[in-house]
Amino acid sequence: MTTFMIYKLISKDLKINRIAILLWFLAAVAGILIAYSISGLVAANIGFSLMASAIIGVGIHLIAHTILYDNLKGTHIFVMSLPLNFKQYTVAKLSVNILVFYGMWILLSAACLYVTFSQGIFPMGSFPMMLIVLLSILPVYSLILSVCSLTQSISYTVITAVTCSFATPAYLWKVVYLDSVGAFVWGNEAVWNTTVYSILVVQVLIAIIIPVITVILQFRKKDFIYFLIHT
Amino acid sequence: MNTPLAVECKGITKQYPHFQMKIVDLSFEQGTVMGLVGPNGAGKSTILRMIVGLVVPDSGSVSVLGYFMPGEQIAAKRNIGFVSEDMRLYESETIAFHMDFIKSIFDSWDDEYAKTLLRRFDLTKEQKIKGMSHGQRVKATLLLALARRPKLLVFDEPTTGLDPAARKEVLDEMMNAMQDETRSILFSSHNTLDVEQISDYITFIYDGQIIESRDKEEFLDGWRRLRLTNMQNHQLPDLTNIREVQQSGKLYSVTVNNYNDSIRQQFTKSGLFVDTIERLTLEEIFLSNVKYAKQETA
Repeated sequence: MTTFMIYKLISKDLKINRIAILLWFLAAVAGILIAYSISGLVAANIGFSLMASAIIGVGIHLIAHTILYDNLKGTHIFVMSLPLNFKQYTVAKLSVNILVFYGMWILLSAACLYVTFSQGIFPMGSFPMMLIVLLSILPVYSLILSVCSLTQSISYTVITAVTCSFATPAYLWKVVYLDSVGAFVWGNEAVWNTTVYSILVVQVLIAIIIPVITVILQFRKKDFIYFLIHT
Repeated sequence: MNTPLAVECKGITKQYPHFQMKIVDLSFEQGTVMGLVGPNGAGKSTILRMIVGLVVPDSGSVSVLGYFMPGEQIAAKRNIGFVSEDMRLYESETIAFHMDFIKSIFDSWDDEYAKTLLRRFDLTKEQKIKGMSHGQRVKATLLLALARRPKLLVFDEPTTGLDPAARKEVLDEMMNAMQDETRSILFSSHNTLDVEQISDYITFIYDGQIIESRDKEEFLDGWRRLRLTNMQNHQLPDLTNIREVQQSGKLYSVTVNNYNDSIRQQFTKSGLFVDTIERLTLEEIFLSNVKYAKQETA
């Protein structure tokens, strides 16, 4: 029964957002095709930017439509009238977002790495940095998803997303200027040292810990409806 | 043998920054209709949300069809159909999408009944929610709640904002739902006509507390307005039943609760002449109750 309703909610959200998910996926595929089929650094930059935008786009779209709009438009009351509790609702909402985002992230990251190194767009030495860049999306996504789930507020979600959009490039610049990372980026061999491993592990851990904390905090909430329109 | 209770709230309280639900006790039997009446902000929605497990009381207990809320809400909500004024369906989807979704969850879903409701409500399955009027949306939500054939229907202001024709359709369908004698309805409204029309029991709520809760007939029988003439300026008898007094010269209009013949005799004994004794409508009873509660609070 517990998983039955979670599964029902996930499949409902996937059905409702299927066209948007498909369009974002197609945009990402177009980005990869551009990077793959047109030679040169400019085409690669355009292609990868398009792909990254599509991954971020699908993430934000789903957060907005499955969590924010649900709360804003009152569809969450319809859903909560069904035989489920707040915990199941929370798990279902986090699951559908993480499922789609991570699914697309894994697929496109793999494609991105393949195109980059099979086409020789960047030397092999940039592989660790590229992985750091791709993995840096995950904690950012987790943070935005977490803030949105906990506050169900457009303002807080937008503030978090905007802050992250400034903070992430700054963080990546800092990383690339670390001697143990930056010195090997243009080399012909990937160098996997302790710094690189530490950065990768910390990024993955943050991406995992944030949703776990979110679930714990959500489970501690007493009321499903916090802001009363009518008493 | 006692009929099992559909809902039993014992001493529930809730504190919000700008609203306090005082100690509320509320119960009614299965197979009956309970109407909650109160002005906006009285606490009707808070009570209903506690009953369907959306809000947890700070103290007290809520039992629905024998299940304790919110702990046993999953089992309880298999038998509850909830419709509220602020509940919305997915705008980008059709009625058919919602029907299929609900059908996939509830084994009790009745396809034939759903089709009948579609016809009665003049809705088509292919209609998208986005293009619907408010009345059509309410009817679609009602259809989704009714066709799963729940034992308890909880409606929060179901007729608010509806035109008279749609309001009648919704009320008619609520009454049709009661043809199944085991089914119960709990609904809130600030429209006393709706409540008077279909309720077996009525509860008045004001400022976060229940000010009166009774059988509808008892309610209507218990209240009277006495038109009196006071030629000699006699003192009115000091009766606890008096809820409202209006004076115009020597003419008095006195509204009393828990009316019985001895009340008339006491007015006569006090030297007043009783011209007429009138029954009150539910709306008049409600307004009188609210006015009295306001005075008591002040």
